[in-house]
Amino acid sequence: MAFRTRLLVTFLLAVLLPMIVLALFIRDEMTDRLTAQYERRVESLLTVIEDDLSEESAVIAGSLAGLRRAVANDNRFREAAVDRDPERRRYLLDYAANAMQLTGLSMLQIQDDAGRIISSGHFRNEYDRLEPELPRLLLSLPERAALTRARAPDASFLALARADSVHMGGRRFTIIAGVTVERHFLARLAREAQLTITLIYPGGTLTSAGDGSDTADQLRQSGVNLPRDLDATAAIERELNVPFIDLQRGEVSSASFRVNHHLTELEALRRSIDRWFVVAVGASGVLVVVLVGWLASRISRPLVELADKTSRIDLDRLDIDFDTRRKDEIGVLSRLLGAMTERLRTSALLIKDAERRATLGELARQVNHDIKNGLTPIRNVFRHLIQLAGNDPTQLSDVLQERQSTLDSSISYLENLASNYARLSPRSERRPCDVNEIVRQVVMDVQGLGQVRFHTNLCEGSVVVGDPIALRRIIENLFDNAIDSLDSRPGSVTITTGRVAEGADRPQVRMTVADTGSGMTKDQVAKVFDDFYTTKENGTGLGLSIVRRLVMDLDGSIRVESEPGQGSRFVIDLPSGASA
Amino acid sequence: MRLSVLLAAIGAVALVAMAACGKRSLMKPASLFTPRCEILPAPAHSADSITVAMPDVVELGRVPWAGNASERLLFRHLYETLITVDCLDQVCAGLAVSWKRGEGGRRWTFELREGALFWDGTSVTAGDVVTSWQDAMTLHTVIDSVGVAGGRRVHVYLKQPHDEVPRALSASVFAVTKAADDSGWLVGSGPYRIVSPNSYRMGKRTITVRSALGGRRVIIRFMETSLVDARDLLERGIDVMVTSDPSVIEYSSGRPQFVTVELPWDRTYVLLSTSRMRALAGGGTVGTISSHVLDGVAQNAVRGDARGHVPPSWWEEVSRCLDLSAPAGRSAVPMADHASSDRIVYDVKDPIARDLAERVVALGATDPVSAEAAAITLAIPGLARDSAAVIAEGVTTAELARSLRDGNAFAYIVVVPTRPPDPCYEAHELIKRAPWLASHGVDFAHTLVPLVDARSHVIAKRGRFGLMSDGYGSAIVVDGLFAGR
Repeated sequence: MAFRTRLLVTFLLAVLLPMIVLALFIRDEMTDRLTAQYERRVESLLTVIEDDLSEESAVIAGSLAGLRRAVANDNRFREAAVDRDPERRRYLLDYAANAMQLTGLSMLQIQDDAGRIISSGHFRNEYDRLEPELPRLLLSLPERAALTRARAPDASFLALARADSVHMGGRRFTIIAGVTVERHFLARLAREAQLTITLIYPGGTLTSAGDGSDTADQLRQSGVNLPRDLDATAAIERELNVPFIDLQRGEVSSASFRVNHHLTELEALRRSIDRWFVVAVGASGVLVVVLVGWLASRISRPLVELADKTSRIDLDRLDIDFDTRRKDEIGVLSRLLGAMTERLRTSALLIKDAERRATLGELARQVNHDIKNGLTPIRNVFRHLIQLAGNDPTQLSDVLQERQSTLDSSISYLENLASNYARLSPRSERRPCDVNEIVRQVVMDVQGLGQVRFHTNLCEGSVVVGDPIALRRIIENLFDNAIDSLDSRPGSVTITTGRVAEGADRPQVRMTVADTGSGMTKDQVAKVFDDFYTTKENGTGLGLSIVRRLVMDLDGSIRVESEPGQGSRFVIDLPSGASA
Repeated sequence: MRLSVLLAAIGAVALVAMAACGKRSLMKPASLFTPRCEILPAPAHSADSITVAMPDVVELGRVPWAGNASERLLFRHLYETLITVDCLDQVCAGLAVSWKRGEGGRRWTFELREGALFWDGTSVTAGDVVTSWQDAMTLHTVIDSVGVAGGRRVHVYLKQPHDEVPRALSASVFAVTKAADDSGWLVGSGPYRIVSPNSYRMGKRTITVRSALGGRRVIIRFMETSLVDARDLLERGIDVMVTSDPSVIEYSSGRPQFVTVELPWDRTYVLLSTSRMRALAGGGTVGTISSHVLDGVAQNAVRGDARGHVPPSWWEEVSRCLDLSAPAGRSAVPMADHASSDRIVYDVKDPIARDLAERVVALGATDPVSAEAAAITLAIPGLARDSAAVIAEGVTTAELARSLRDGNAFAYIVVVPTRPPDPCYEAHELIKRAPWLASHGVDFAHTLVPLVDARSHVIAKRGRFGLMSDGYGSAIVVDGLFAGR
C-alpha cells in the first residue's frame, strides 16, 4: 500500500469513526427522549379525550333536558303522542327533525313506552319502527353517553347518544339524542395530525384519518416536508374503552378509542439527521482527501526528490548534489546519500584509471596484432625468396618481381596503419572500394600457406563505400580465423561476393568466407564476436571482435553459421557503393 | 224524503253534465271553458300583461311536445289539439268542434272549427293536420294513420277499434302546427303567439306571448324561475304559479291577494323494482299494496299534497297495446346482485320521491311491525333485510335515467302521469326508459308498484284575469278572446 494511501485511510478512520459514533448516539438519544415525550402526550390525550367525551355527553344531556321540558309543555305534541290525534300526526313526525335542527344535534328520536319510534329527526320517515332495545340499554347507563349505530335513509352512522324520558298521560316517552361520531369528530378529538384516533366497535372501525390519506400525507398537507418513501406505520398506541349499544345483540358491549401517536415526524427527523450526517461525512471525506493529499505531498516530496536524485546517480555522473539544510530524518538521509555518492565518486576514479591502463594493454595487443598481420606477407615473401636463393637463384629476380606488389601492399598497409595509430583517433576513410580487388590481394598474400586451398567466387560490381584498410583488415582476420580452424589439416577456404537487396533500403554487397575447419558449438557461436574470447592457445580474442566493430563502422552486419565438424561460414553484408 | 230529493238533484246534475260534455256519439261537445274547471273567474277587464312563473326550462327543440309542467303550461296557450280533456276528465272540443265514429270505432272523422286560423292568418286545414302529425305517427300511439276527408274534415284511423273518441288526440304530440316563423317557433293556432322568445326580466329568461288575433292585446310573460324561492316570486309581481311545495302553498294561503287552488291529480309515483321483476320472471308471486296502506304513506310520509294511488291504473289497461316490448337486446331482467343494487334511487330534485324512498327504506329495515311494512315487503321481494342493507340515494335526473336503463339498482322511485292521454304510448315510453320492464312472460301490469298520486297547486293573483285548469294538471289563462272560442 502506498504511503499516501496509508495516510489517507488513517486520516479517514480517525475523522469519520468519531463522527459516526456521535451521530448514532444522537439518533438513539433523540429517539428515546421523543418517544418518551410522545408516550406522555398520548397518556395526556387519553385523559383529554375522556374529558371531551364527558363534556359532549353533558352537552347532550343539557339538550335532552331542554327537549324534555319543551315536549312536556307542548300541547300539540301531547295531543299527537298521547291522544294519537291523526290530524297532529305530521306535527309529531316533523317534531324531531325541527328540534334536531334547533338544538344542533345530529340524532334525535322520540319513542313511546313500547319502543316504537314516533318521531325521528335524522330519518323522518322511520316512524312506527319498533326499537325498544335502544332506549332500554341507554337508560341503563345513567349519566353516561354510549356509542350506537343509528340509521339515516342513505347510510348508517355512529352516534354518541344519551337518553332521557318524559311522562305524559301516564305513558313514558323516551327522548334519545346524540351527535354523529365520524372522522371529523375523531379528528377534533385528536387535535393534531400526528395523533390518529381509531374507534373500534363491534362490526367496524372508524379512524380520524379516514379519507384514505395516511399520517404522512396529513403532515405534508400541514406543511411538514417529509420524504416520499417514509414509513408511516410506526406508532405508539393506547386505548380508552367506552360503552357501545349493540342493537343486534341487544346488549351493552364495549368500543375502544385507540390513540395512535405516529412516529412519522420522528422518523422524518431521523431521516433528516441521516441525510445531513451523510452530507457531513461526505464533505469531511472530501476535506480529508484534499488535506491528506496536501499533507502527503508535503511529507513525501523530499523523499521523492531524494529518490529522483538517487535514480540519476551513475558512474559517469556522480555530481548529484545531496546537500540540504534540513535537520530532520530527511536531512540525515540526504546527507548520508551525499556521503555515499562521494565515496562512489572516489571509487569511480580508481576504476577509470584501471580501465585506462587496461585499454592501453589492449591497444598494445591490437597494434601487435595489426603489425603482425602486415609483417606476415613480408615474411612469407622473404621465406620464399630465401628458398629460391638456396634452390634456384636464377628465379630470384623473376619471383622478386612477381612478389614485389605483395611487399609494396604490405608496406603500404603498415604505413597506413602507422598513420592511423599516429592519429590516435582512427577515423577511417570513406570511398568506393572494390571488395573483389581487396579479396584478390589478400588471397594472393596468403596463397601457398600450408595445405590450404583458396577458392574465390567473385561477382563483379561488388563495390562498397568505406576504408579499404578496414576492409582488408576484415578479410585478413576472417582468413586468419579460417586457416586457424583447419588446425594445419588440408582444407579449403571459399570466398564469395555478390550483390543482394533483401530487406534493405538499398542494395547490399554480401561477402561470404567459408572454411572446412573444425566448426563451432552454439555456445562458441554466441561468444565468437566477444572481446578477448578465443579458443586458440595463443589467441588474443580480439580478431573477430575487431571484425565486428569494423563491419559496424561500415554500417554493415556480420553473422556466422557453424556446426562442430562442419566448418564455419561468416556472412558480411555491406551497403553497396555502386551507382544504381 | 230529503235524501231522495238530494239523489234526484245529483242525478239531474249528472245528466246535464253528460249532455254538455264527454261521451255521446255526439257531434257537438261542449267547450272546455265551463265554470266547472274555473279557478278564477275572468274579471270584466283583464289585465294587459300577466306574468307566469315556470319552474322548469322550456326547450325550443321539443316544441310542441311538452316534456315538463312548464312546457305543458306554455304550449297549452300556443297550440291546439283536435280535442282536449277538462279538469273532470271529460273530453271536450279543441280544434275540432265535432267528431263521428265510423267503421266500428276504427275510424274517427273530425270536423275542424270553422274560421280556425294560424297566427299568420292562414286557415287551418285538414292537410295541415296530416302534415303536422308526421312525426307523431312514428310513435307508439293508438293512432294508425290520418287522412284528409275534405277541407276541414280529417279521418283518423286507429290501430284497434275504440268506442270512445281516443283521448290520445289530446296529447301535445298531436298539436296542429305549421312551419316555424322568424322566431324559430312552430306556428300554432292557439289564442297566443310568440312575441319574444328570449327576453330577460328580473334576470330570468322570459318568453313573451300575446293575443294572436285582434281584440285586446293581452301579453303573458312566461318566466323561467328555477332556483328562486317561490315565496319571493309572489312578492315580486308573479301573477300565476304552479307549485307542489307545501311551504309555498301554505304561504300563499295566508295572502289574501292570491287564490290557491288544487289542480287535478296528474302524476303518480311508482316503484320499479328489479327484485320484483326477477320474482315475476321466475314465476313467483308478489304482493300488492292496499289503498289503505298507500293512503297512510301519502298522509304521513309525504310532505306535500299526495294521496294513496287511486285505481284504475293506466298500466293495467295496456294489454291491448301492440308491440309492447323492449328495444332489441335490452329486455333482460337485471340479474346482477352487486353492491349498487342495494340502492333505492330517486331524483334528488323531487322531495316527494325522496320521502317515498326513505319510507320504503325504513319499512324494509327491520322485521315488519305494521301492516304497512308487511305489505311493502311483500310487494318488493328482498326489501326486508338486516339493518345495513338497502339505502336511499338521490341522484341527478341524468343519472337516474342511466341507472334506470341499466337496472343496476334495487329499486327506483319514478313518476308517471296519472291519467295519460295514451296509455300505450306511455307504456312504450316507460319501457324505453327501463327496458327490463318488458321481460318476456311478465305481465306489464304487474311490474309497477303504485305508491301515491300527487298534484300541484296553482297560485294566482285575484282580480286580474281568469284562470282554468285542464285535465292534465295545467292551468290556462283565460281572457275574453280565449274563452270566446
